[in-house]
Amino acid sequence: MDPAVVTTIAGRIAEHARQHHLATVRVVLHGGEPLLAGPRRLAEIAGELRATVGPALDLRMQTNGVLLTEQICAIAREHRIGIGVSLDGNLTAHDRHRRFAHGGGSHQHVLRALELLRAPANREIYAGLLCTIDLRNDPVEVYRALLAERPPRLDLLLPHATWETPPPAFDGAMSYGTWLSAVFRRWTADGRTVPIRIFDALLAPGVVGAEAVGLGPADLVVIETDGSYEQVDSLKVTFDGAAATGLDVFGATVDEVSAHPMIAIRQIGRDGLSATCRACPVVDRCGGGQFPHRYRAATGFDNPSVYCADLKELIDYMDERDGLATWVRDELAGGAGAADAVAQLAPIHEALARARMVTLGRTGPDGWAQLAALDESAPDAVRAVLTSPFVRRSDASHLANLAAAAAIRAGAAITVRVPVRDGLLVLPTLGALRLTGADAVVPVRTSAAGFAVDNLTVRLDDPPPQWLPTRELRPGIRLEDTDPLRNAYDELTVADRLDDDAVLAWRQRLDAALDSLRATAPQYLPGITATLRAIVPLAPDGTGTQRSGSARTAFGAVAVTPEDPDALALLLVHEVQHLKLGAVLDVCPMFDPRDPRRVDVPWRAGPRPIEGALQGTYAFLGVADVWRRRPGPVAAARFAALRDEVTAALGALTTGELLNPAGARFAARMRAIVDGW
Amino acid sequence: MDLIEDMRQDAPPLEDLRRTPLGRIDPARAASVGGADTPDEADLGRIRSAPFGSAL
Ligand code: SF4
Repeated sequence: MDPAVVTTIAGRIAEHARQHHLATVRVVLHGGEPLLAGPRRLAEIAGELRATVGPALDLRMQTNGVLLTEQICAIAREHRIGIGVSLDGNLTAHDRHRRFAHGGGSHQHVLRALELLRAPANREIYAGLLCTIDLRNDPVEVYRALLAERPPRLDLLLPHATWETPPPAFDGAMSYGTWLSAVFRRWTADGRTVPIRIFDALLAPGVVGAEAVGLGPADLVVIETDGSYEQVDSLKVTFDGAAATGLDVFGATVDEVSAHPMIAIRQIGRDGLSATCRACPVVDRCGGGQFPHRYRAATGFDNPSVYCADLKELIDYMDERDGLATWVRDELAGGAGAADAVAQLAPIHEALARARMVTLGRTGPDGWAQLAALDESAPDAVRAVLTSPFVRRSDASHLANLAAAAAIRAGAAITVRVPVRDGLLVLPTLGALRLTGADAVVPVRTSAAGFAVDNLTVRLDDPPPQWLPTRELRPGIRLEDTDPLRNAYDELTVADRLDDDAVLAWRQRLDAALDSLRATAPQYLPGITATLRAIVPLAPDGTGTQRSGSARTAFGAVAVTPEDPDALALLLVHEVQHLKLGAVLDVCPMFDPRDPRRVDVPWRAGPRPIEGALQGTYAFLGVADVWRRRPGPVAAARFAALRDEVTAALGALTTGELLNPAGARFAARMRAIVDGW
Repeated sequence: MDLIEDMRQDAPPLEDLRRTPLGRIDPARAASVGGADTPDEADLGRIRSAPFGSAL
C-alpha cells in the first residue's frame, strides 16, 4: 500500500472519529493476506494509524496465519494489533479449502501460528478465530477443534452465497441451521465458556453486533489498497462491481461514502428490509441475515437471506433450548409427568437463582465476592444453598447470608458482614441465630465447625440455645418455619417456629401423606420428589379450612396447614402442580404477562388473571386425577365434579386467544387428557 | 458424530448458568433470563402466588 494512501486513510479515519466523537474505531487489516506486506511495512502502517487516529483506534488484523512469526507478534504487541486467524476446524476440515498453490494443506502452518498466539506474552494480541462452515465437516468436531486452540472468542461464518449462487449443498448433508444448532447445543452444554459471535448476537440482539444477523446499522466500509472505498467485500459475490462506491479517500469523507444508497439502506434497521423480513416473527434477532446473502438478480437486495430457513431453524432451536423442550412440556401437560420430564424443572430454579445472584452482585454488595469465590472452590456447598426455595426472593443484602451459609457448608473460613432481620441472623439451609437488640449488620466469621459473631461462637454440633437449626422432615425436605423470606404467600399466614413435638407430628403427617399417594396415585411421586424441598407450615385459622399456597419465585416450597394424610396428599399434589407449571412458565411464557383480561374459573368467586386461571386448571387437573384413582363413591363424585370444573376452565382459557402457541399447546394436551378420562 | 437428528434434549434449559461460575456469568445474560423474578405493575396477567383455601 502506497504511503500516501496510508496517510490519507489515517487522516480520514481520524476526521470521522473526531466529528462523531467515537470512543472506538475498529480498523481491520485484511485480505488477501495482510502479512504479505511484510513485517516492516506492517509496523509502518500500524504506527501511522496509531499516531493519526490516537487512542480510539482498535487495530486488528485478519490473517490465514501462514506467515505469522514471532517477529510479527512482537510488532503486533508493540502496536497493539489484535490478530484474528481463519481456521475451519481440524485437519480435514481446514485443508478442504485452505490450500497452497502447490496443493499442500495449510493446517499445520495455522496450528503453529496459533501456538505462537497462545504463548502467555502474546495472549493479549490473540483476537480469536473465524471459521467458515462446510457442511461436510461434523459440527461438534469442528467446534472442538476450534476450542482446542483456546481462542478468546470465535465466530462461525455462513459461506458467501446469494439466491443466484446458492450455498454449497452436499448429498445427505444436514442444513446449515441444523449444523449451527448442533454447535449451539454443545456450546451451551459446555457452559458457553468462549464467546461465539453469531450466537451472542442472536441471544443479545442490539448488545452484541454482528454483520451476519441483527438489525444494527451497518458500520463498516472497506478501503482498498488504492484508496477506493468499497462496501463489504462479501458483496463481490453478488454481481460484478457490486461493492464499488465510485468514491475514494482522496476525494470523499467517510460520511460521504455512508450516504451511498446501498450503505444508507442498511442504517435504518427493519425499514430497510424486504416485506417478508419486516413481517417475520424473529426479525429482531435475524435482521434479514447478512446483506449480500439477500441478493437476487431480479429484485436486488429486497429479499430475505438465502439462509432464511437456516436462520429460522437456528433461532427456533435456540428458543427451545433456553426454553423447555416441547416433549417436556407435552409430558407435564398430561398431569403427573414422567421422572425424566420433572427432572428438568429444579435446574431451571437453580439457573434462575444463580442469575439473580449475578444481578444482585453487580453493585458488589457484602457477600458477593465471597460467594463467587466459593462457587469456584466449593461449588457443591454453594449449590446446596442456592437451590433452596427462597433464594430468588433475596435482595442484595441477603448475599451475605447466603455466602456465610455456603462457607460453613464448605468448611471455609471467611468473614462477612451479615444483616440481622427480625432479631434473626439467618443462614439459609442451616438455621438462624436469635440475636437480641436492634437489627444491625454483624461480622460473621465462618469455620468448618460453625461460625462466630462478636464474642459468641456457634458450633453446629453443639450449639448454644440461641441457635435455631433447620429441621428436616425427610431427607431433602426441610421444614421452613424460621426464615423471614418464607413469608411469600399473599392472603396466607405462615406459622411461627414450631416446637419439637410439632415437628415430629409434621414428619409423621408427611410420611403418611406420601404413603397415601404411593398407594393410590404413585404417578405423582416423581414430581414431588423432584420438586419439593421445603414445607412451610401455615397457621390454621380456626375454621377448619384447608389452606395451602405456592409462589412463583419460591420453587420447591409448599405452604400448607396441618391436615390428615389423605387431605395433605391432595394439597401437596395441588401445590406441586403449581410449582411444576411455575418452573415451565419461568422459561416458556404461555401468555402475554401484560394482558389485563380476566378468566372465569369454577373454583373461585371472581375472574382470575390468565396465569391464575392456567395455574388453577393445571392444579385441579392433578387433584382430579388423584381422586379418579382413589376407590369408593365419594372419590368418584369428587372426581366427576372436578373433571367438569377443569373442562369448563379449559373452555374459558382456550377461547379469545388468551394463550400463545406454547400455552395453547399445553391447554390442548390437558384437554386431551381430561377427554380421555 | 454428535448430531441433533435426535432433537429430544435430555439436558435441562439454561445449562450455561449452572455450569459457569457465578463470577464469570455475563450480567447481561443473567438479566436477560431474570424477568420472571421481577414482575412489574403492568404485568396484569400474572400472579405472584397461588393461595388456596377450601377443601379438596
Ligand atoms: S428469518 Fe428469514 S424472513 Fe425472518 S428476518 Fe431472517 S431472513 Fe428475514
